[in-house]
Amino acid sequence: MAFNQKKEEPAVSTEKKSRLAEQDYKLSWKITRSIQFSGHYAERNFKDFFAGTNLPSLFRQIETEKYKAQSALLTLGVDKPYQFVADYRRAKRESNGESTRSGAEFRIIPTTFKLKSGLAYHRITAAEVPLIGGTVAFYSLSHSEARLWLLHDGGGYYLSLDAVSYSFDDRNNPLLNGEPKAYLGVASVGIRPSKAFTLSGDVSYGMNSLYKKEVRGLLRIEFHFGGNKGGGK
Amino acid sequence: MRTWRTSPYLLFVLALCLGFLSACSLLSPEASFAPSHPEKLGPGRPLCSSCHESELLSGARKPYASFDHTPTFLKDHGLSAGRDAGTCASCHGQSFCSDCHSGKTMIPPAVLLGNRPDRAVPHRAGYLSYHQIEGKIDPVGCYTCHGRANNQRCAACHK
Repeated sequence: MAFNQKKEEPAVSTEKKSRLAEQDYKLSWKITRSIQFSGHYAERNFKDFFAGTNLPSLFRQIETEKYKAQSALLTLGVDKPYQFVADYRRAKRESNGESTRSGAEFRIIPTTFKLKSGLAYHRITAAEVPLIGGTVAFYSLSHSEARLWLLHDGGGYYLSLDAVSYSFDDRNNPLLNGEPKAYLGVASVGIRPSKAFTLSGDVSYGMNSLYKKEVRGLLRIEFHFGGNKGGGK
Repeated sequence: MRTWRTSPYLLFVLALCLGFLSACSLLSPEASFAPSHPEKLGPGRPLCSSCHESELLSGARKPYASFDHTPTFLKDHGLSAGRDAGTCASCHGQSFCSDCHSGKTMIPPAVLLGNRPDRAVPHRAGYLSYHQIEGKIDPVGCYTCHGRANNQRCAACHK
């Protein structure tokens, strides 16, 4: 018996896929007491990856697609109050192309002084993706992230400040509503009358593609039932 | 007539299972491991190896240095927690893990940890507006927390 078969072009590629849904390999190497390096390789075959999800409609991917990522993390000053962390990640999706994320964070965490701080910058470079039915044929996903934070912990009280900024390359990205920048600032103050009880409040101000101005306030009351453990964390 | 009751094959399988169970019990955490750290730790992220230089953590069968709270450890702490959660519990209460991993809190993680900028905080600065961008670039990061569980908020739109 013969059947008429319609031969269609494959959605992504004809590369033979592994039967493994998820693969992860990690290598961590403590080069010296102060320097640590780690590498990571990840691979996903979406066809098998989502076979057991409890919500198949969520994050539905092209089922024949494959994802690979390699990443590395280098930390200088692991045991020092001044810590520099550089990271790099390269990901490849068959549907959306390659992307790289690279950047660094500098942290100052002195043991004697009560003020901690950190400064980070990351750059994400991604391939342009097609926009079907839009005013432009392609749009870019590339963007930059920057962050600065301060935390002063005086034991019975604390103060913190956190500032985050995003800058997107392509104003025509339809996901951004024409607003290529986003930022947020959070200020927090708290008191600890006892080890188990903390009263704190946050005020945040930001702007993004959904809100021209976003102001939030949060009053937080925390009580640790059972008290702190020996490590006190 | 040989039955399953007297089969040497069955006896062999039973002996094999008992052998495996015994082997697993040898690798499981020791009951005598301190339930809480005997001394209070200093501020900041601890480095276990600064005191426990060449010791082997008995439950996890790994050196204490592998539990040093370095940036690498923070990214991959799930591996260590899965190996021996008792080690984590000597300093951390369950609520510490639940801050990020419970998925049941009314306050999103980004707002919840607004007072702790030194901790890793995802989804800042109007993340809802550009989560599709992150999802297109590198979706595997999303699946760490969403995808199999913790989907309730996602399902509100992704029906």
